[in-house]
Amino acid sequence: MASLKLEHIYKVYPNGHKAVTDFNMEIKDGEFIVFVGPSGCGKSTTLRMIAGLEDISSGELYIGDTIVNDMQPKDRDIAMVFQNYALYPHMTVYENMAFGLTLRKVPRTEIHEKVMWAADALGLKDYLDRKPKAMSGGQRQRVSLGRAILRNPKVMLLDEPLSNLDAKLRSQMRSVIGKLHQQLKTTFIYVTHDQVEAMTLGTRVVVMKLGKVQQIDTPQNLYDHPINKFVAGFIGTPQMNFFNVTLKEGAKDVDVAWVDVEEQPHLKLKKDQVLKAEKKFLQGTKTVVLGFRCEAISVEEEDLAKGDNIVDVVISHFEELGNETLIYGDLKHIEGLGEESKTPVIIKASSKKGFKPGDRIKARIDVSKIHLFDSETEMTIIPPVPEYSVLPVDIIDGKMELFGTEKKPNDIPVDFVKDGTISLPLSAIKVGEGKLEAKIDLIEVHGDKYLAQVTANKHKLFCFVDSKAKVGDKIKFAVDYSQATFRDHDEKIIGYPLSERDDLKATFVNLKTAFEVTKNQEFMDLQTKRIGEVNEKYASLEEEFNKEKDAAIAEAQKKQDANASKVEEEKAKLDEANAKIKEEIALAKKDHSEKVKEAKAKHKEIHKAEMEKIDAQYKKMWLDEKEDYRKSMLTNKDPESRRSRRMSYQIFKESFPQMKQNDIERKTNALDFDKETELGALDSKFSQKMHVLKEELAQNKQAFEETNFPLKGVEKEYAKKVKELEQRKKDDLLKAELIFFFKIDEHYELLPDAITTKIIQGLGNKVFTKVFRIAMPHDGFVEAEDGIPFQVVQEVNYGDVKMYKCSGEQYGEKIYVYILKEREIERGETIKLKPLIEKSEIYESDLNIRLY
Amino acid sequence: MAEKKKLVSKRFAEKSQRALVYFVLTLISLIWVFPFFYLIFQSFGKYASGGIFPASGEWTFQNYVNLFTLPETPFLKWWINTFVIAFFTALLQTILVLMTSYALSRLRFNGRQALMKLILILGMFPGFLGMLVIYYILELLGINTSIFSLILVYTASSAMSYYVAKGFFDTIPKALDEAVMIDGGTKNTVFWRVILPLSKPIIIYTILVSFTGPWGDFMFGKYITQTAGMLPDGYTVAVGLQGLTSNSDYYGTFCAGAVLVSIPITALFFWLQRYYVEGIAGGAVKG
Repeated sequence: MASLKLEHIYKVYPNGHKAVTDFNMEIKDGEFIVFVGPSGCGKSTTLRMIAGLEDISSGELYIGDTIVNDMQPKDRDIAMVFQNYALYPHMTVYENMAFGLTLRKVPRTEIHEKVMWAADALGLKDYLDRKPKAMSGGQRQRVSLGRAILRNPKVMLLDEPLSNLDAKLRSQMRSVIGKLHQQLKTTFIYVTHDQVEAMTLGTRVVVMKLGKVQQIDTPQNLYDHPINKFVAGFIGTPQMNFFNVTLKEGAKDVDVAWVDVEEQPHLKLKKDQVLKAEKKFLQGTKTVVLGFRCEAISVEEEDLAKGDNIVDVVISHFEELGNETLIYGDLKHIEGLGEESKTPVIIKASSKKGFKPGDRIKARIDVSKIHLFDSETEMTIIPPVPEYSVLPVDIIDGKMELFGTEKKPNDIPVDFVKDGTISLPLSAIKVGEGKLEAKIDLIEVHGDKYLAQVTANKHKLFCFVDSKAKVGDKIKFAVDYSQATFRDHDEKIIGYPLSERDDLKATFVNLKTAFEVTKNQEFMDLQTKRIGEVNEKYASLEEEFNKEKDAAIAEAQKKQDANASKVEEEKAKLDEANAKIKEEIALAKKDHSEKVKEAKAKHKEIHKAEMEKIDAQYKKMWLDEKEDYRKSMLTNKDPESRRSRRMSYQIFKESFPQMKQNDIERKTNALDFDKETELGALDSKFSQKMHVLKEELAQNKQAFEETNFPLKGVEKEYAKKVKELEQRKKDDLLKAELIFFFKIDEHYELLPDAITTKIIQGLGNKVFTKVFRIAMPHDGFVEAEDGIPFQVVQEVNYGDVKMYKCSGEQYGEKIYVYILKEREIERGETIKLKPLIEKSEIYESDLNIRLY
Repeated sequence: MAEKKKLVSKRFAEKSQRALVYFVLTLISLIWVFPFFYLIFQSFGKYASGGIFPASGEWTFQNYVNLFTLPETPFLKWWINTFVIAFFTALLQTILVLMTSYALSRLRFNGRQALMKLILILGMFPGFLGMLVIYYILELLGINTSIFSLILVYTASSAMSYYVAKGFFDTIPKALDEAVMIDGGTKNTVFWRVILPLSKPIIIYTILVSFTGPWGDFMFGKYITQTAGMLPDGYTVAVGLQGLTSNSDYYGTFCAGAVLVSIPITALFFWLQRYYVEGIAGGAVKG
């Protein structure tokens, strides 16, 4: 059992196709995760990367706390169930299940126990001697499940395990898998394109599309709060109803106008529902997609009686499901079938209620259950955690009217705006700092974060607060205007935020190159020091190890000497025991061959009897027909019927041999199958017995060696350990020798081992030919002697946040970086800045893959 | 009435068509087996006769006896030489062919497609084109005087006949390989413990093909023994028997030898015929 972590996982094929893009997820121990999406969305590829069957192009995969990117599948301690079962056809069910453990050299008795346990859990006990081809699809998949669970893996991977089964078996197997998960409490990862499986099985579901994760959430949250139109449409049957509408915020409520069917009455939403929506969507100008599920629209009397939010629907047809009826209709009356409607609607009703196709009926939409999406980005406009707070702002005569009137910070890039807006991301509101005050109106919990809606100077905005905050509390906050976007009253952007990070260009070089160019002795000294440290560490380890080894050998020697007198006696005992087992083996062999002979003779007998039966049957048929024909020819005088009788006789004669042959073949095949099954069962029983006996032989011998010649064993053991230790030392020395740098123009920046590993992991030996983009945050630089020279251009004032804008040159191009103000620096002064690589984000420039 | 006429004529047409087909097939098979019967009958004749059958009163077993008794026809030695060569060639070749096919079917490496095409093109040149060079190489290795160097010559090109086995391996689902990898195996485990047990027909097919090749080969055998100036003891059956044809006194003995040579192969084919067909057909599913 283990947790999993996927960090910036990419799968890029040699032709540049990105099958999986930037997959990030943490999976807790014991979770049941389902990857779902249409075909080609990268879900299977992701699973196969976790299994180790597919290389990871970039990013890290952790199982537990270990990075497993370069680990063989067998070393990852995972088990997998395949869509086409992937059972070994030449092995019996027992052997299929035991194969993995046999390869891992688990003792026979333990294997037997585990196979029996798994067979019992999955109801396979009666089939253990069968070969897969003699089983049904459902049984095969159970074997495949059994094979996976009996190894007790850390993670179970299931790749569309039910898609080859029919509907009834599928629902049965679904509950089998669900129960298994509850019993085993192992982490399950399950891939499917069937959203019913996803919703019923998963504790969390990952919806994917075109290699990108759309939403990761619990099934209920996916259903209730889809993050975008794709998820909304993909999850839930029948599909969600979608309509184009516009929203206009009024004094009391929000008016919803239909775009494609103007004649329909408008809906009214409560203002609370769109609190998190950006104001631009609420001005009646932008088209928004309205979505609601079939159960959120009703034709029942008691709902219609409420009187509000009622629309007209023209019925086109019905789907009766027994306990309920789906009414298919349209908000618009459409003649004929040619035109594709933009306004179809599906309504769930308790019955047909006497409606007929073509009827115009009234239906009520439950507006508390609607979803709203941006028609351009398809993202929801009322997200659970809004990205921005959008507030009205005026800037006139160097004064900014926002949280009260204040002097406009110098470097806000807008000098004048009237009736404009400012968009502040959540990270721009720094709670606990500064002097501004706000009152908490509402707190929502999202994962481990607390989202608060606060009022400051009559404006409502969102920010994160700590867990102790309560509704009604007053908080202090500061605003980082460098992250703000300003718009004028026409929604045109007039002030862009300062980018969060500044880019540096770099290439990857090794120590030798760095030293050749810079002749910086420190680099070489560093390597010497690292190697020295490793040597020192191993010197003390070896000393300890040798002490332990000497002691163990001395003890073994003592034991051996003490036993020396009894060796002869023990040997005799061993020989006696082994002779007995050998006898048993010979007996078993003889017994087996007799049984096989017997079975073969029996089947030959059966075959002969059956063939005789068929022969007799056909002979009788032949004679009967002949006799019948002769008689009818004698008695029948009607030429027409004589002719037809003659014809039918002719046909009988012609087809007779073929008929007989077919019957013989059919029977022979069936008998052969029985024979093979019986012989196979005999064989597998025999080989199991042989294994047990042979193992006993080996164990006896081993026990004899161990008690009488312990020295040999101990020496062997320590020789192995010495080798291991040497190998470890060699590896560590190699690691100590390898030192890499980022060459940023003329500057060489030493790379921490962790980052080097990640970059090399992502790109392999291509690292030296690539150009990297290092995105540095504003607090990612420190001043240092050996830093990159920058010239301070100006002080930048964003109110509560003050920075310096510095210019430098890289590869002949002028670049600017912004650094947080920590001390007073004169304009024009040159400072040397060293980038803190750990704080950066590192991208590969060609394909824009994030490596760190 | 018209209907009846139609029916009769249709049946007549069918029957006559079938008769024609059988006639042609019988003719072809007669032509096919004729040399074989000719060989058998001649092997029992005292002298070479002009017709198929030996002249009356000339029936004899002496030809067979001669094969094993005359000092200039050490047939048993030839037979053993050939068998050893064919046996080891078959063994090595089967292993090599199956391994190559597996690699080409399952492993993805740079130049795989190009290699497959190259092998296909190389295979179109007849093997004897390289005879001179092969002899030179054998001489360099110092084994040009041994008939058993033929094992090396025959085995060397074996990987080139990978297509049939590769086609068969392609039909075995890849998920099996993956299941083994996850179960804790390596590529070796996959090959020896899963793929091979499933490939009985193709293994037998490969053994048969690689046995019959050296068994009947004349050209390389003649070349090696001739240039190395070997005694009749070092011949293979093909070389030895060919030597007999130059003297018409030995004509019957030659025929007797030919009959004996064909027996093991015939027996092998009868025994393994089922697998042979399965092997070819199995490969044919996916080229």
